Amino acid sequence: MIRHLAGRLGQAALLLVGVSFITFILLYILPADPARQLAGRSATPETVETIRQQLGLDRPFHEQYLRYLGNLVQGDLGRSYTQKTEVAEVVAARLPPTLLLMAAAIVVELMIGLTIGVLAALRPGSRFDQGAMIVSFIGVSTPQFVGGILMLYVFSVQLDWFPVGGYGTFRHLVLPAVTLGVLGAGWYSRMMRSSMLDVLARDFIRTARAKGIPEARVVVVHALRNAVLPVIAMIGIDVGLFMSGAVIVESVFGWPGIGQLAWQAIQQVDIPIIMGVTLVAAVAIVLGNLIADLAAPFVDPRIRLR
Amino acid sequence: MNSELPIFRVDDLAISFGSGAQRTRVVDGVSFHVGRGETLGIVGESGCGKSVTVMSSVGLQPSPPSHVDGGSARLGDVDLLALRPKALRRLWGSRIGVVFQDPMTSLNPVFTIGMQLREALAAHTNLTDAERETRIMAMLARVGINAPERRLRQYPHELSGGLRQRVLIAMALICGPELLIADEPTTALDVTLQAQILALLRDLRDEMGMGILFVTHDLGVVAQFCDRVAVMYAGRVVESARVDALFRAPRHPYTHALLASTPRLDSDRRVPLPTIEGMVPPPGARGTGCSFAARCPRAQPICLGTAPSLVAGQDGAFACHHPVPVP
Repeated sequence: MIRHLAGRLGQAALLLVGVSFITFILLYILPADPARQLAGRSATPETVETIRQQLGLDRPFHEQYLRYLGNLVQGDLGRSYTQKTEVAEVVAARLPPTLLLMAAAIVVELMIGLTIGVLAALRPGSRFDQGAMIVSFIGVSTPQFVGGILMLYVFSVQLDWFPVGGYGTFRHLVLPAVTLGVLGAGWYSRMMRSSMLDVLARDFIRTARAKGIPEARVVVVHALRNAVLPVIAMIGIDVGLFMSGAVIVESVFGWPGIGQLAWQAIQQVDIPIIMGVTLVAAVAIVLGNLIADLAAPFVDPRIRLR
Repeated sequence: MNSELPIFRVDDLAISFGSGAQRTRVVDGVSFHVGRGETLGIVGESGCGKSVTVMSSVGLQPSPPSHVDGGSARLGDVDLLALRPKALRRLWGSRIGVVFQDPMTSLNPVFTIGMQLREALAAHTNLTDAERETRIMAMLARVGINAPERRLRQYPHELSGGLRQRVLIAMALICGPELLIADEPTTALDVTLQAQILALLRDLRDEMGMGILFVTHDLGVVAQFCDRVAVMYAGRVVESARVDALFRAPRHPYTHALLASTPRLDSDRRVPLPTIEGMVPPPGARGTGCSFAARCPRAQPICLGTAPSLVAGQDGAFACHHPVPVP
């Protein structure tokens, strides 16, 4: 277990070095000159040159990268161009809202997705099943900005049940979480349906029925526990996705999370922030998958960690 | 160990699959009965409808896609086919135990053996935890599982196939059923284990007095283990008799051919093993005549036109216009 964990963490570290390298290349590919940006519009060429030297931008590529990596290891993500503060601080301040939104969205996804998936699997081919799968398909194919704006229009503007945007209370959380959750639930319901159908056809379900236990127990205890395994892997993926990919929903609802930060940074070409957010997202994806891997043996004892 | 009053009796059972225009009769007019402490073998090749017949008769065949079109299946004086699912569930596991074919896949992989046994017992009894554990331990010991307290904490994948089949037998018998349905319980096991499991089932039957409905395609197992046998072909019982009579003097040409095509230790190795020519007609392509007529060496014109009905003979019953003469 410990050895497995150490191995996985080692892999994760390597992966993150790779990500840091790719994001670092951004600095070179993007046409924006950081020194000029920092200096401001009215700066003289001399000032810009001084700043360039201060930042070490005149050094060769490999030297710059190694210094960046060295700082990274010490938790120094660099300084924001526009906000004149440490990137680490800016990102850290945005983490709690994003984590909250992520957790809430995953709860909504699971509640809707698993319920629909299981019910559809119990009556494959029924009207409910067909309807549920069409709705799921619409859910997964609806762009978040369409879904989000639609939610805003109906529940904030027309019905005035929830605030139009912002952060702070539970009421602020509902619309963005439901938007992410409802749109994402389609993946879960479709996966849960096929996984349940597969499990319900297995021999041990027949054995469980032949014991004379209630059908609800056959489905919820015997089948669900087996069918939920792929869902756990999917939660792991979602954790990573929502850390980075809630950009649109966070922007639509004015949710002060990582996604909104990324959106603003991209608009302002604030490269250190973009790099920081990318790195945090990569860490989240790696961690999400790691947690899913570590959780799997608790659901299925046949999976043993080496 | 034969018995006068049957504990389980199936009469004129008819089953079809599919719906609408595709609906096809797969089992027709099947009748059999099992007495207390008696073992009835249901024999036939794959696809003859033996499993469907037996599982449908106790309501365990999923419907749809199958439908029971007619007939009755009485456990004592209860017609199982007339029961609602809830009432059926009260009988499954308590008065009817089932052991399925493949022990490797018949236990839930994510729960311990203990949980799966406890659940079977708890569904039909109101025992205290301590009483339940005692009964489970005793049952595990009875089916020949050593160190039962350790087994209870183990998961199915930690047990061998033979052990798992013993666990499944313990699970089926834990509430002391009157009827045990064994659907090819030894087919997935190797020969040594097969013999052990059969011996165990026989001992348990003699001890607990339940009737066993034993579904198999293996005539050797039937000869060893069953009291009576019903031979099924293309969804019908073509012959039923006491095992000794059937093996000594099969009357239906299909039974005769089946026995002739079973390898024996004393058969001449230079002569190829006889086979039954042709194929079982698929459901839906069975005409009005005898289903076996197309493959039957004794077939006459009447066989193609009129299906023979099961008539009682000296030692059993057979459905044939031109039965094999008694030697």
